[in-house]
Amino acid sequence: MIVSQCSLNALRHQLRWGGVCIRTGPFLCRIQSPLPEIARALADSYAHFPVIPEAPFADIHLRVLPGRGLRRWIRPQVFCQCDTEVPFNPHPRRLAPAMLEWGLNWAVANLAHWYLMIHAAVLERGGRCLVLSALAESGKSTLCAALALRGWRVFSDEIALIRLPDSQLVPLARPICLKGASIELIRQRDCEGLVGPTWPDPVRGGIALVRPRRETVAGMETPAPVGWVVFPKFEPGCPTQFSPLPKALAFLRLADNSFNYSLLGTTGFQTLAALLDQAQGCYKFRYSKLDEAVLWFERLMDRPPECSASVSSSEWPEMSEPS
Amino acid sequence: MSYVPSANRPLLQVLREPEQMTHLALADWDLLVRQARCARLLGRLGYQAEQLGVERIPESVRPHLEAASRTAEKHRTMMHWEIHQVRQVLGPVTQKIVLLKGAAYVAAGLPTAQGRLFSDMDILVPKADLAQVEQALLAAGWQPMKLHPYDQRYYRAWMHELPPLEHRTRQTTLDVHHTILPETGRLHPDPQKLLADARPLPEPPLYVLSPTDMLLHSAAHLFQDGEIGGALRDLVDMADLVRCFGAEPEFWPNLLHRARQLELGRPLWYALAHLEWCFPGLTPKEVLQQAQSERPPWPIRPLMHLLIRWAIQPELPEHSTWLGQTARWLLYVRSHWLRMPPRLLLPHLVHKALRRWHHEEEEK
Repeated sequence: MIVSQCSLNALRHQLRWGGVCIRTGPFLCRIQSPLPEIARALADSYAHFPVIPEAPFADIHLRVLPGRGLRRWIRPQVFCQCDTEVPFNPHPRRLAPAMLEWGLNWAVANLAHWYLMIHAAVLERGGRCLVLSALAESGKSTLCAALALRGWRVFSDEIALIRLPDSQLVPLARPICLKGASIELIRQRDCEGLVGPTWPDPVRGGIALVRPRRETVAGMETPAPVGWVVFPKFEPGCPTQFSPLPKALAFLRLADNSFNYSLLGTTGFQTLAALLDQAQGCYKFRYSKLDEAVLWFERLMDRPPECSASVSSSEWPEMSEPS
Repeated sequence: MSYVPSANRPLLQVLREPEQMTHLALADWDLLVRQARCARLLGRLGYQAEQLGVERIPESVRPHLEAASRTAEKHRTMMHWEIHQVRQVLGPVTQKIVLLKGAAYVAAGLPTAQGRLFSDMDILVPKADLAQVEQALLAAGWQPMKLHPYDQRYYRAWMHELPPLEHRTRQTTLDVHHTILPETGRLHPDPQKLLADARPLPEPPLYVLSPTDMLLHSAAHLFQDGEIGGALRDLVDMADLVRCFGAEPEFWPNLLHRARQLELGRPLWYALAHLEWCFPGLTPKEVLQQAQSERPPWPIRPLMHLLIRWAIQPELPEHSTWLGQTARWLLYVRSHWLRMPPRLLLPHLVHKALRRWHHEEEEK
């Protein structure tokens, strides 16, 4: 059964009592909330996702709750809770659907240490993945959404999930979260109506979700190997520029942007090294014009693999254990 | 009196009998994984699963246990490194660095360290060396976490430790103790006795407390100093210590005598009584018998028993009851009551409340 087969009332009832269990990529998420807008958000952004009605075991348990005390009614707020943790400060109630997204991202990043996780957007085309890794405000989600509209399959706009034994990228297939000016930029290019409503937010200049396509959700059990690793940076007025990056430097940057590289220790090192060994090219990329940027990425597939020294651990001299 | 809050049963059960983990239904695991995570015991279950063979655990649960084991492993590595760092810095300025709690379990290679998470590092040093120790740590990159002059004075005048230190780059917390309970409190275990009996580790000047003292410290920490939030984890620690040291011939005969020497008879009774409740059969009957003389009088005994049982419940929001919350709050109040006499406690609480109020005003 998928979400769109459930009536809004049934969703609302389920969310309030017991919770709705949704599969996104490898995770079963049990979402609970007394808020009707969460039911609408699920029906809207998660329409194609499988619902598992009587799932006995869920990986993530997230509750999206109305503010405490007076903040339930006066300038109402919303917050989320993952088991006992409350990861974010309460936000205005109208941002409840965004709170659901942030909460799910937080839960994955903090629990799923059976993957190497990197703060990056991941998209797939032609059987190979593009990893866009950057700090916040670098235009990562904007690029991700623009490429999604061009038919790339979205794995995630926030978290690259890297499987530990074989460094394959695993889809999460969740909606993309757009902020501020990029919402209109993407909406202009959106002829399928994938971009959802904009929720006003003075801090971020508005928030909107881009629904994943039906095919993206259908393919969320199919992982893929890495093709390219790109570190994008949006700079107003800057011409589209790129330069190849040695794999060793790309390694350092990815490790830096990782949620759990250091927690995984040797395994983290080996997994990341194997990932970069499989990469056909690593680039630094600067842009200001979205269409030019998208064109560059479309042509990326035709570029011959860059020559760069392997970073595989097997080619490193054996290191003795520190005493 | 044998009533255990129902939400707590699966976690206690698998801690008592790891074998039970192989018989649980997936729906039990759904609750258990979260309870264990919030009691900081999921790594422990991960370790138990490794011992049993992970293939006997349902497939969808395994990754969670594996992740918890990895996290525990990382904590252990960090603790080793932290111990190494502290030894480098303090070796030249003090004769004895006694590692306490988590640090001791790791350094002494005790089974208690398996799958355990560590939040900070605790050490005990002779009070005479305290000034040099603090100077050396400050010079080597540790810095005070609480800068408010009131907090500084609170720790220095009344507590059993320096104001907590945090390392500038590693962000690890270090608590430097000169005794194991607040100086303003009701009980005064003599730190000289603890130091005199400490056991050297292979790397001088690192020491750990003697087996009896290690158990007594854990008991004092939980039942006198009142860190009730991690009560179940502390009981698991104590159960491990007892399993590990109970085999030594002098451990049980000495325990009660030592407890009286250190004024820790009452916390020991609490520890043994609640160990017996959580992990029946670990403590020899005659030791339990002899410890009866240390037990609290009638109305306090059943009341504390009830409060601790309720407080030990994992705090998952959907199972949070007002009974559990009230019990935790009362135990928290009790710990403050034991920590300072009323003439110090009242001004302290008033000061704290005023400061919180000021802080909120400023934020607005």
